[in-house]
Amino acid sequence: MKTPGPSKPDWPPVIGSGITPFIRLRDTILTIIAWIFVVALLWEVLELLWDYFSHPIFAFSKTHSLSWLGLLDRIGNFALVSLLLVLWLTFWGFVGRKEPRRTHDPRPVPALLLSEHAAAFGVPPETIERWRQSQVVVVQFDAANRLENVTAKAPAALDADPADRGER
Amino acid sequence: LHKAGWWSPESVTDDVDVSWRLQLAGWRLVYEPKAICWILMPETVRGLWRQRLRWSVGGTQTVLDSTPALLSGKRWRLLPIWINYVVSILWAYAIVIGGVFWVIAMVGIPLPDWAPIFSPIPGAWGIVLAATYLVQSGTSVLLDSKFESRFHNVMFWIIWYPVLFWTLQALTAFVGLPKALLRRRGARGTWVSPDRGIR
Repeated sequence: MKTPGPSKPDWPPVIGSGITPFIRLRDTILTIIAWIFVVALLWEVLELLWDYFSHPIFAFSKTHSLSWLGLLDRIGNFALVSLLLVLWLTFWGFVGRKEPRRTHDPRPVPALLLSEHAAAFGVPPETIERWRQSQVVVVQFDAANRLENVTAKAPAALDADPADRGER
Repeated sequence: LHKAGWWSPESVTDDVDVSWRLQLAGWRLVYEPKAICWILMPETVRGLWRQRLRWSVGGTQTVLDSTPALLSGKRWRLLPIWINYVVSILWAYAIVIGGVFWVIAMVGIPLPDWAPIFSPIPGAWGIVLAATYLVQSGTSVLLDSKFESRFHNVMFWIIWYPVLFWTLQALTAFVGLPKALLRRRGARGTWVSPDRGIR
């Protein structure tokens, strides 16, 4: 994919609040409503936590419809399984982060032979070499998934055609 | 990539497909937090639905196609991801079927006792899962913030995942499984990029 340069102010096409003020405002209001909805659902738990961890800490200053024991009774098993999974993932995360360094081979990986590369696509090596010179290549396949037609595009054509921007 | 067979012309999710095949070929993929890029996303609900449905079909197809290689090649490292995907699809089916029964019950049609009913209005467990997700997201944002400035801003929008996005995920997984199963072998994986409704 071509990397757009700083001379193109419309790229990347980020939708800023200046472009769509109404949509931005609408989305912000809807998102605040969504948060209020979730906070309302969690209110009893949040109130319990706030009371327990605020002054006087580790004690309740008023009675709640929820209790630690009641909460533990309802979600105890879930919390335990979640905790074990978190510990398991954290452990393997720490082990795993060392492995790439331990198994890292500093020797440079030999480049794929051009002939081998070309053979995989059924084209002569010099054709591959020519394609590599192009920044944008439009590739067409036939019904059997063999390369049918390859056209090198000029880099300027990329800006004109949004379909060539590597979008997902 | 050469050893893994390059990108598949049949896949509708090229990145998922090639990353699974690379790992099945014995390579390891690691997370590089400093590799940051941007992505164009759909701007309409229809565009989002089409994109997520394609991702669902492609993901399911990859998981189905990878199963024999995973088992015969004894790539047990991939097994938790495989199980996670399969369980997610089962979850999606449970949610959608339960939701359909809920609608039937709401219109007053009597249902047998065995019929599972899932209300779309979150109950105690829905709230627990949403809260778990928010804690999970907060932790991720905390860890990734040092690699991307102002990343914590996403926390404001992340509420849409438990509120709406999970429903979309469940529906696309529900529709995506039969589409993946019925997809003709050898059919070309093609798609149109997300809409660009807002200019």
